[in-house]
Amino acid sequence: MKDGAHESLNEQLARLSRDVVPPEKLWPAIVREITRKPRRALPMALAAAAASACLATALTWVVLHGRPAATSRGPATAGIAASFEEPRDPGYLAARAALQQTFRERLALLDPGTRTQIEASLAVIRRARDDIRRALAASPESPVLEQLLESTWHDEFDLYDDVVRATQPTLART
Amino acid sequence: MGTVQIRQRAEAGDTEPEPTAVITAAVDGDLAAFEALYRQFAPRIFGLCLRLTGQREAAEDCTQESFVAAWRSLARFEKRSRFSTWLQRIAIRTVLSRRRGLRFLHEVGEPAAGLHDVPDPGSGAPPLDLERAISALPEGARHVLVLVGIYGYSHTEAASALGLAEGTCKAQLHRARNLLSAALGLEKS
Repeated sequence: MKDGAHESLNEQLARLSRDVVPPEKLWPAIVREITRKPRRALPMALAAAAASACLATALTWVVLHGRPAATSRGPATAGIAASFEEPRDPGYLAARAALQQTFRERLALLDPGTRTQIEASLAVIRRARDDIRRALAASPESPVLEQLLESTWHDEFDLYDDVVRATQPTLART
Repeated sequence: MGTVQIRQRAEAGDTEPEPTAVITAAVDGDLAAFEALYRQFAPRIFGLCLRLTGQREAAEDCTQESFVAAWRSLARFEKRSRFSTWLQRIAIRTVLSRRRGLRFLHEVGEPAAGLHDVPDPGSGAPPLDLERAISALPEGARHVLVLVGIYGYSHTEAASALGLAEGTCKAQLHRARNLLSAALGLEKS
């Protein structure tokens, strides 16, 4: 990435307004909500687990059967997804290497059983990425495969992050 | 680095004096005072939710949920932090909670939907291409870019607010910048 591109991007970001006026209907809806009894919170952990299971199932199905379902995407998404592979610029690679280093250090702090499970999860993610890359080589125009490839980077980052955070008990979280 | 310039702008906007008397009244259960706080802070919270979710309807829901949560948590508001900062943290948590349940749907949906009429009072021409490109970023990269690049958070603050390691935050910002520059055709400049 060139410095000039960063400068131009920063200038464009700096021109964005941070405030956007919400629709008028919001305040009456808020009043209605706060003047009635609180509802029970949704079991988000269960919802997240279900969503992850769906994603894993969809990924396995698409990779093994090679029949991506139709999906709708906007033009901006198409431009980004088409260019998505992990960035190669030195800044990104340095940040990623630092995160991986921290991950490896923290992984060593875990008990052998947990460590084995995490390493197995990482291997699954990487195998899935390799499978998706091969599928993409055969079907380079498939937006679903592009999405899935992208999601493997997301999953790998999440795994690093989960391990780093789980082994950092003093991290302040509100 | 350009981030410094953005942070200075963001921090300058956050140094306005806070309405402490109104906040105190709201903490005591005065709904009219809470409405005054809503009128003052809702545009910032809605803008934040809009950029974080990339979807107008989701942003409306998150803004509503954030103010409801704020009302219910006012008694726990510690005046050591700024009210605006506290509100933003609630909004970010609301967006993250919502996204955990809907992540798959968000990732295969049309991320730019609902952003066509985002106003841009700060300049003559609305940078819709930039808004659309931001909304189309992968979720993790978008969250970090929005907080650090637009709302002036430091990496430490953004990592804490998003529940990420700081290294993840930095890597995601690099990723977001690269993707945005590619989407906007800035790499050739």
